[in-house]
Amino acid sequence: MKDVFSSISPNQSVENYLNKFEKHLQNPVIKSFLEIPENMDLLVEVINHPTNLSKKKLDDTFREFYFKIRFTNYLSQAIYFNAINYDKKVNLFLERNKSILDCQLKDGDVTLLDYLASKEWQEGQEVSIDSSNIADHLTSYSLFKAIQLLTENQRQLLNLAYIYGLNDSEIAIYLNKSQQAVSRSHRKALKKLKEHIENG
Amino acid sequence: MSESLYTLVKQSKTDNNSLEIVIELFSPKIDRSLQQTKWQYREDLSQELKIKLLDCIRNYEVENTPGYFQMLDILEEKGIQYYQGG
Repeated sequence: MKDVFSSISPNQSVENYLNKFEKHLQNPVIKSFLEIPENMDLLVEVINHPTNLSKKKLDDTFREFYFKIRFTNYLSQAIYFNAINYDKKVNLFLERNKSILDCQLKDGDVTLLDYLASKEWQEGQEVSIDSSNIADHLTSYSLFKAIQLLTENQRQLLNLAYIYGLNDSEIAIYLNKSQQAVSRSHRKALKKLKEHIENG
Repeated sequence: MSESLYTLVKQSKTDNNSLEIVIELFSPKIDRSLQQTKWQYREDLSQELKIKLLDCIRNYEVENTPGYFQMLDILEEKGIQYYQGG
C-alpha cells in the first residue's frame, strides 16, 4: 500500500492538482494569489500534506488576500459615487438658492433681480397665512381645485412636506410608514396635481 | 503598516483607532476625488466622504469573504467561463 503512494512524487501530485483545477486557476483573483511564491508554497503544502492545519492556513491567507481586493474596491467605489452625488446635491441647492442676482433664471428670460422687483413676486410675498393646511396657501385656483381631488393622506403628506419642510424619510417616521411608501405617494400626488393643472 | 487591512477592519467594529487608520489609508483616494468639485466645497466633501466611509467600514461583513476552498466551490457552482487575455 505504502509503495503506491510513495511512487507518486510530490511534484507529480501538484501537477495533477493544477491540471484538475486549471479552469479555476484562470480566475484573476486566484491567479494573482498563486503568483505570490509564499502562497504557492502553502498550496503545495496542502496538496502534499492535506492536514487541517495546512488547509486552514491556506484558507486564511487567501481570505485575507481576497478581502483586501474586495474591500479596497468597495471603498473606492463608495468614495467615487458619493463624491459625484455630493456635487449633484450642491448644484441642485445652488440652482434653487441663487446667490447671483443678475443671472438668468431657468424659465424665461428675466434675471433674478428683475423678478424680485416685479409686482408679481411682491404680491405673492405680502400674504403670509398661518395655516397648516396646504389648500390655504395656494394662490392658483386650478391648483386649489386639484388639491381637493387628492386623498386625505396625500394632503397630509403635502402639508408636512411643503409647510413644515420635512423630507420623505422624516415624514415616514412621523406617519409610521416606510420611506418608500411615502415617496411613492408623494410622487403620485404631485403627478396628479400636474395632470389636473395641465388638463384644466 | 504592521497590521493587515483585514485585521484593522475587523477591529474597527469596536476600536476607533483602527477605524481611523483605515480611513487614513484611503485618504489619498478621497483627496483625489475632491479635485472634481469646486474648491469651496472640498473640505465639506472630504468630511462627507469620511462620514460615509465610517458607515461602510463599520457595516462591512468581514466574515463573508470566502476562503480558498469556498472560493473554488463558488467558481465551480457558477461554472464561469473566463475570458482569455485582456
